[in-house]
Amino acid sequence: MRTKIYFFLYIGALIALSMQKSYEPLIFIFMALFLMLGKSAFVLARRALLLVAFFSFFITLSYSLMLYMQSQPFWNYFLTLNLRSLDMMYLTLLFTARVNIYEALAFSKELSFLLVLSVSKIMTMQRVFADYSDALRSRRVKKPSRDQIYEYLGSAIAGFLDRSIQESKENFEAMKSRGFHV
Amino acid sequence: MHIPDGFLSPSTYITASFIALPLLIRAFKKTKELIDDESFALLSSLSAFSFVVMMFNIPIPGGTSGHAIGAAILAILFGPWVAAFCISLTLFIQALIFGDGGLSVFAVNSLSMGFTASFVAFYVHKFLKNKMRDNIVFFLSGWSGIVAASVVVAVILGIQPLLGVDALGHPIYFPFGLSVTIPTVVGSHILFFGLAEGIATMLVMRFVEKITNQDKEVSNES
Repeated sequence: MRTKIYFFLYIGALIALSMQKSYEPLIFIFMALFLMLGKSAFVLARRALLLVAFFSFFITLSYSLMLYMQSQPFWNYFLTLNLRSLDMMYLTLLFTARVNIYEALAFSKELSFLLVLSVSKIMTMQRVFADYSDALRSRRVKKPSRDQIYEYLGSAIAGFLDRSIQESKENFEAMKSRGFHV
Repeated sequence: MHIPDGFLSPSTYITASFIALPLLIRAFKKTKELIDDESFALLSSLSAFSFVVMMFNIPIPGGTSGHAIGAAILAILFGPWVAAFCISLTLFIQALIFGDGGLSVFAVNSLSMGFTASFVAFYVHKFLKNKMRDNIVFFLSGWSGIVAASVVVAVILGIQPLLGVDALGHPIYFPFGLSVTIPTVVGSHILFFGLAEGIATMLVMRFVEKITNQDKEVSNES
């Protein structure tokens, strides 16, 4: 029950953050989140920064440049949007670092089970994807042609699809044999 | 096409959440009806598949590359509801566990990349099937799905300057209006990302057809 309360608090905090219209409170919120994270603050701050940087900086920089060229103040816009985006991402990282997400989202047995199963498969697929990429890299002497890349992509993606369907059948049989019914 | 947290006004993402939630519940129920007992294992596998498809960089003629989302592949093979649910589940996991996108914008991402892309791809395939070469139909299904999704994203982003301004009259969410978002977001998807989705759909469906035909030949011989 406690984790569910944390989840609703997190949603409420996200909405409150998205309503902020000036950067001053967002600086204090960032500092508060930083302190709450303790030892992992720097690592998560770096991760949050990397996650929001591309889209956020690209959009806000181009708009700020436009305001600057029109001799209009741009700092408020630039800082507010980037800090709001950063704070929201930082809050999400804090939530996922401190709260058991699967427990927090266990509103229905079916969805909770689906989430756990999907995440575990995504982790496995990520490893297989890395193996595929390494295998392709280690087997080529010269740069492959576009046709060769297309052939590889077609078979690799279809291979993943085939693997996904096969695995789901095996999972289903394993679940059934253990008397697991959702 | 993932929109990060902080760029959409609360009125936008709360409205989108009210639209997306019943659709997701319906998609979940439809999927369970369609696939029955195996649905859970298959749904999780297809969501993982969609996640992996997004990791492949597909070279596009012209020297650039982009990634597909796999909506058309899933929609053609399993139907639009299954595809929409799997893509949405993947987006949810990306937002909450991998920090890609954001939870506040999940509903908008789900409506565009999940529902719009899957349904448009499915119906384009259904309409064009048997009217032209398979490869072209697969390509157009993937391309049109992703372009339609980009139109939704462009419109949602483009109306943000109307939904929130500061004391000086400057936008406080996404700053550019429709006159910028439509050509840039939709244009880049027509020319680049749509091609990636179209090529991925064509390559995978061609491979699936090849394997299916081989299986048929083997069973006919035996």
